[in-house]
Amino acid sequence: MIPLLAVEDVTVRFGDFAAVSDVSLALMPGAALGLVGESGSGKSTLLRVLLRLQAVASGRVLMDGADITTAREGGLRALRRDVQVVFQNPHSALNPRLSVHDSVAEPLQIQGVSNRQQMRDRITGLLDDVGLGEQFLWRFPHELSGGQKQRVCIARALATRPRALLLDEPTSALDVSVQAQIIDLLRRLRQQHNLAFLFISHNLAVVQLLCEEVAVLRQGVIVERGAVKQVLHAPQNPYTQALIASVLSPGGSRLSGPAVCEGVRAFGIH
Amino acid sequence: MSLIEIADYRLAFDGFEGRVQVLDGIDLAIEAGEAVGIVGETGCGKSVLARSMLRLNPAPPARIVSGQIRYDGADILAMPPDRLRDLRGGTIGMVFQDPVTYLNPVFTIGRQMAEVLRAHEPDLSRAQRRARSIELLDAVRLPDPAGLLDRYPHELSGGMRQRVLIAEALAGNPRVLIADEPTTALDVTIQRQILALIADLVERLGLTLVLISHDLGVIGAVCRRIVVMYAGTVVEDAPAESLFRAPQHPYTRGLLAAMPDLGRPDHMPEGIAGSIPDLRSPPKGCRFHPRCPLATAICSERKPVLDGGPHAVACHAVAAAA
Repeated sequence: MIPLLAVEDVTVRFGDFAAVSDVSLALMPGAALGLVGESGSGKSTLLRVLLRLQAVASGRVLMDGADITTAREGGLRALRRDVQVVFQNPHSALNPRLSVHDSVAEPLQIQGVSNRQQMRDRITGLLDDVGLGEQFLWRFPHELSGGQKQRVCIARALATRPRALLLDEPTSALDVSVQAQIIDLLRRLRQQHNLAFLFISHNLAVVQLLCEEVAVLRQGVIVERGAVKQVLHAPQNPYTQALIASVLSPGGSRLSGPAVCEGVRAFGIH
Repeated sequence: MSLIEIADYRLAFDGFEGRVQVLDGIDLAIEAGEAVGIVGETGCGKSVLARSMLRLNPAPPARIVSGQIRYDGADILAMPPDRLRDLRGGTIGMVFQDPVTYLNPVFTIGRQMAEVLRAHEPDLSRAQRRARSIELLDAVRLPDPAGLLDRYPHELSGGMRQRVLIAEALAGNPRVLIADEPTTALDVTIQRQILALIADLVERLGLTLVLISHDLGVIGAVCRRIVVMYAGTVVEDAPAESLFRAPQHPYTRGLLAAMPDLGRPDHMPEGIAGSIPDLRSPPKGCRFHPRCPLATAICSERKPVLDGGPHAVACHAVAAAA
């Protein structure tokens, strides 16, 4: 099977600093791949490479097997339609001056939907998909909760009938009770629309719920990858092990006394 | 007498669109040497409550509607400015969420440490201040503390900056440390290190800790007692083990059920239906009742009070079942 979206030996440099070094990664149609790592590990840079928003120093970007590393906007039409993105902070991802209707309408207009009734029906359908009723149509972002805003962002991403969603920490700015609803929504949408997910997160427990495969990035290099079960429950790489050991599970791990400090110090002050 | 005593504390903010009833009748007593965690979601009032302990909420717009906050018997709300000044950063140290915004980018760490020390111990000589700064940076386990004094904040990682801020909070030899989401802006491995440091300092220095977080995992890692807040009220106040083992309040249960857990791959988190109320016109009675699966008629009429005992809960349904 040909990957929907892939990078091959990609390196990205900012001046002398290599944000991403020789990374190869493939997202298969319908698959869900998690990308985890700490700040500065290159997760978001890689996402920007996949969206062709970031130039690479070397390596290739492929969509459906075709090289799009240097394609111009005309050659990127399929990418822009089939691959959509949802960002971490729904407050800044929505234009405060646009109503929900107008935000979701924008990608539809670009696709050439011009009939008003048709437009209206599509938008209500999309909002319904993400669990928002018709009463939200003419609301503005400041009238919505964080969770509702993220639902609008997801509806907007679905407007082009994409094959893949790239999700960059989509639940990190939300409260846990809202996060649970968005996780549930994403799982349902993935099944309903046969979507592929590239899911970026620092929260391993959330990755476990949404992905089958996971890659661990550190300082621009993939240090471990494999099935979620394998990587998150029997990690081989010392960094992955340290990452997993740092997860504080609800009601579980109490840190106490200097003993923990010693153990932690062995891992080095950042 | 408890070290910190909060009784029937009500705080409101007067805004353009009406009065927001942020805290509604908070009762909380913290003993010396306790490590207490305050947990709740956005807008539940946990940060406002923490700031209230130092009277840091600017008035106006804040308006204290009723109640008292006592530190060691003295009413903080009636305290003269000079005593309040001794309390802030002196007896009670505070650490905030975002280490970037609390350090001045144009001054060296040494100069900022010296400024804090000058406020607390004006009689120290320059050399003494330097020695004390090094001692404090060493106490938070920063490597090469002497070299650090000449560095600027941008040369430090987020975790190191938070350590510097903890060192500054320790400069006044506090008895109490209030930490408001001290690790939320940090990566998980760094978060664990900072929490281990806080736990270690609490033990070594015999501090009383008030840790504010939205994350029960963070709270559970350090605190022995957990206070759960919802919409400006305390809904449950219990020893950590007891709270995790047998949560009583429907909101606490909902919160725990909503948390994904790496150790339990089959646990599918469930959200809490509805959304947090508008505190300009909070629900009557129990503020959680519109979202509560156990709500009955009384819940919309009378506000439940915390029952006594070590595991206290404010819920009509729990009381009726007992």
